[in-house]
Amino acid sequence: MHNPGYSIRAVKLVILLVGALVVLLAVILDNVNERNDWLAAGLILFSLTASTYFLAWPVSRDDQRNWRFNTKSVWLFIYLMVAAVCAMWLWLLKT
Amino acid sequence: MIKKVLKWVAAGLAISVATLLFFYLNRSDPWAIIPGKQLRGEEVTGPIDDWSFVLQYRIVTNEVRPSDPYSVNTGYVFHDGVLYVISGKGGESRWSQFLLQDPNMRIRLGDKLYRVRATRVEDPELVNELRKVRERRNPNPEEKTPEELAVLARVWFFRIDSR
Repeated sequence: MHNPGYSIRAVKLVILLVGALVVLLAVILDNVNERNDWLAAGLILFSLTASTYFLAWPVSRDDQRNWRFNTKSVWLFIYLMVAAVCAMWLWLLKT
Repeated sequence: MIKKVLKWVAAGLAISVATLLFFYLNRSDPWAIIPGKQLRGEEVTGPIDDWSFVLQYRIVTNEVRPSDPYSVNTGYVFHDGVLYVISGKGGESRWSQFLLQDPNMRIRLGDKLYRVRATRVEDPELVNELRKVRERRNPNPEEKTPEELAVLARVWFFRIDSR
């Protein structure tokens, strides 16, 4: 029987790998430099996809109904921050 | 497994971003495409009549908007004893817009700062001449595409005079 959850996981993995491949090729072809727009684009794609693996609220209630910090959200925050920085980088390159 | 790898990647990215952020916030000089703030260097007082010494430098660092200094590296043209700085994006660059609002600026050559005034060159003949001088300095034997020609056409030149 077809499992939709499995398909979504597979699509996410493919997009993540495409992002990683773009980053890798951009570095191989044009090195790490500020004019490398493919590097910025690849990092945006990679970071945004990676962030979906850590979707969580910063705080949530545990079994005893106490608020507790979700460490998962730290990884989410890092990836969103990297995506935002790269978006700004691309914007600077294109303006 | 994927999440474990992604956590390590995130840690690496976070360290890189934090390092870059630290240098960005503490910058004074412009770095590549990132504009800088107030330039450091010894300020030369008195007018400069002969700018020919500029030819020993590859680029000029411009500090515009004296009220809240904003600095960028640019190319230049030295023609008929006059120094011109180049805005490759014409009026689309922020620094050229700042210059239109306040023509007073400082330029840095080597480790010395010079107080100058910039005036946009609008005479089409002179602009053409300056373009040719610039091309002679950076010869490109390949034929230019229409896009490259369009980019070249939007270049602005600012005449630099001591103040």
